[in-house]
Amino acid sequence: MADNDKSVTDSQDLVLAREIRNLDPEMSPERNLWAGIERQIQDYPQKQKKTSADWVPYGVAASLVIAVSALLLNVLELNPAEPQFVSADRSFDLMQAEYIQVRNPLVQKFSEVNKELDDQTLNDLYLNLEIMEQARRDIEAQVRQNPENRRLVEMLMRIHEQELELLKQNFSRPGRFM
Amino acid sequence: MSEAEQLSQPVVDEKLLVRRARDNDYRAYEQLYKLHVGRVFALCVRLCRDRDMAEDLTQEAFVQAWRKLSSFRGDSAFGSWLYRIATNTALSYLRKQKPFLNSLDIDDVPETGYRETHDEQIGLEQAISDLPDGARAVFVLYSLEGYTHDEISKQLGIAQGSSKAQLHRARQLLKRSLGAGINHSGKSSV
Repeated sequence: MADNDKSVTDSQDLVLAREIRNLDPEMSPERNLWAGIERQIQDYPQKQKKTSADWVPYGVAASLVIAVSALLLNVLELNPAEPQFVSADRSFDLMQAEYIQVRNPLVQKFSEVNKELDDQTLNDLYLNLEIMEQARRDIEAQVRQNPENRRLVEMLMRIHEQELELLKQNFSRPGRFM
Repeated sequence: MSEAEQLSQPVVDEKLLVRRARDNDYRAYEQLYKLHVGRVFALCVRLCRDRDMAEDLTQEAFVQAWRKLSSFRGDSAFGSWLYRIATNTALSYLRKQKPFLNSLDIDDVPETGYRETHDEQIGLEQAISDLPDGARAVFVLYSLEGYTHDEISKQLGIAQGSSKAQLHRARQLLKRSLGAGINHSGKSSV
């Protein structure tokens, strides 16, 4: 009798397991629910997440302003040359060499550090870097034409700092620097 | 959906749809709705038994998911994340119902009133629907949705032992309800 009860219980377990497997995971609602959902979600548009790269356009704009200002300064020659103990050309070359020495390793590390970013964001960052680089080259050209203009050199140093700051930023981990 | 039908379905890049929805693309979210509404609705029907209420809960679940979409990190599939929201939405509704709260106490699970089907076979869907509220919720969450007893105990605010007892009770009642099937297979019934 006990064996018979166990056999029945086993059979019932099998039937239940089979029925659970065969249960349809989906059911169709009778009403069209989407219309109501759409009406409600339109009252709650998704907020676009601010990324740590949001300041970059402002930085780029500032760089462009600096580049244009440098051009004007050069043309108007607002700053008269001051006596120099080291030749201005030589001083400029040293500054450029030092800058390139700091910048190049950062450029190499930049793509590696930010590899977790999606392609679109990474492309935007590279585009901004290119714009800043172009601004820097414009000022460099101005300084080369007038190496004794101290204000131009200061501007160039400032854009160097901005470019290095961007390169040091780890955009994969907002708020942190490399 | 049959295997052949599944194979004929176009491959949908769900991650892309989620990304587009985050950019306020309502059509993309509609696609996600179409992909998952059947499963969400089934979950709500089985938990709350009332189809009209299940439709309201389904709507609410999709609205809640939209509001929380920015917090979806993509660590799990979108569907899994959505079903959790739907479960919470349905349980939140049930927790406000006094009969449901009472039924969570294992001592109060009524034996009487459950459909006796020694001479009539009914489907599992109907048998689940006929379960007492507490036993039904635990059975749906554990056996159909893959929750653990630990998770169920936290969701329903009951002890793990109660969750196990409710599941045992549910299985016993379901087996009794499906008993006619065993008769058809030629074996003796209790």
